Amino acid sequence: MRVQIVTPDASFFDGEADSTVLPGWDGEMGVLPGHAPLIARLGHGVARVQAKGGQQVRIAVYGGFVKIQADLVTVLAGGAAKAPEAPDEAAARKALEAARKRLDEVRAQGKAGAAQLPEAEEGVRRAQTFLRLVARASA
Amino acid sequence: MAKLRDIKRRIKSVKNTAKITRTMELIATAKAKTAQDRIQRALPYFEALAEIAGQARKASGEDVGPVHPLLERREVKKVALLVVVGNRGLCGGYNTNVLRMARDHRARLLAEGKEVRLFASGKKGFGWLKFQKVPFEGSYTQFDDKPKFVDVERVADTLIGLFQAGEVDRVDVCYTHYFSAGRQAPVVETMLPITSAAEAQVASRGEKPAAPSGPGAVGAAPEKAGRNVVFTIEPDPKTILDAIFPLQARLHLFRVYLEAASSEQIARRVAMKNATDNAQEVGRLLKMAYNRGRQSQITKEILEVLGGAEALA
Repeated sequence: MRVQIVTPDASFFDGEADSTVLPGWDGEMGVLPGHAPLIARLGHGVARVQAKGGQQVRIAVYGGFVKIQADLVTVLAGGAAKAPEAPDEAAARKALEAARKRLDEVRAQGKAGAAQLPEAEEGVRRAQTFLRLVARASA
Repeated sequence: MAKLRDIKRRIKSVKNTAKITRTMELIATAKAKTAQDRIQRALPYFEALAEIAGQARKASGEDVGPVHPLLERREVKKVALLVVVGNRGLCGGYNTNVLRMARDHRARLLAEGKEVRLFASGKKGFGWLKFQKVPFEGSYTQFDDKPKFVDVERVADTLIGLFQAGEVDRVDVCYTHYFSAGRQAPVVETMLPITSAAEAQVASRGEKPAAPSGPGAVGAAPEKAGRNVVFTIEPDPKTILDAIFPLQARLHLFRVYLEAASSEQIARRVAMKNATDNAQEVGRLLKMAYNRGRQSQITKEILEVLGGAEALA
């Protein structure tokens, strides 16, 4: 089966795979070749693609959708990230703290900060997911 | 003599200018190509998302539930207007055309008694607004010839946030629409509430849509013939639709930025081509003037020599 993981301006994976695990909206879900046609909402999490040839590729997916049809798995991610060559867990942790702090600041503003709230929340979710990607990659 | 030297200096400077504008033309051509490729590359994503939206809507049937917050049409009292122009000039009328349209649009809204909150993207945008003493709040400069989705998302989320919090009742975008490689023109589109999707939802309730959608707005799924696949939809159509609308709004803005970037580079290429042509024409005229001057000077010198020889004889 072919797996594609794309954002509007970049492609993160496109190739044949034996299996793949995707971060579903309400829990992880595994996809094997011959899966029934499916449309599902994705949550924030790390997708693991078992590429043909045995190599596992891990990609952080920041929400989005997946469409499975005729052995073609298309992940339309709202955003995505690959683990960097040299995963820096400390930096990722720091980024998460910064994102949390920003969210607290926005929340403290109450109604005045309402416009920034969705963005700040999304920032925390992304930082969390990225940390998970990096933490496991370096372990 | 002095006059001839002046002309020579000007020829040199014009030639240099032509070289610079020619280079800028080539750079703009290359950038325009990349920008156009980016539009092409984003298309499959738009289509796939539209298909998912279409399937989810089909599966949700008549039961569409309450209108999603991003589709909600309120009485328009306050409008946010995002003006998308470039950071740089030297691109003919690209910036001014958009700014003029934005100004007219703002004037029209004000005349209708609406409140307008301006957001400017591109240095040329808020430079101009400042000069015109028009108040504005947001200003973004991070976009150039390759707008990134994450950057666009941030702007989009600010606007979505304003809309959802009820601070504005409509979000308009003024930018240069990319009709084709040969035609780009400034347009005003409504980003929020999402129009074409709203239309579909409203249409399924048997009501007439109130406003026309912007050209090419992300939305209605293309019905592909002979593909009656039944999709399992997880967790349920409504959840999918709820999540798809914000993404569609962001994508709409992303497309706006991609098109604006392409249009800017194309405008710059045309402007620089004209500049190069003009410089070459000026150089030709100067050279002609120079040659003529040189000729008349030689004639004058010969006459002087002849005159001198005659006087001696």
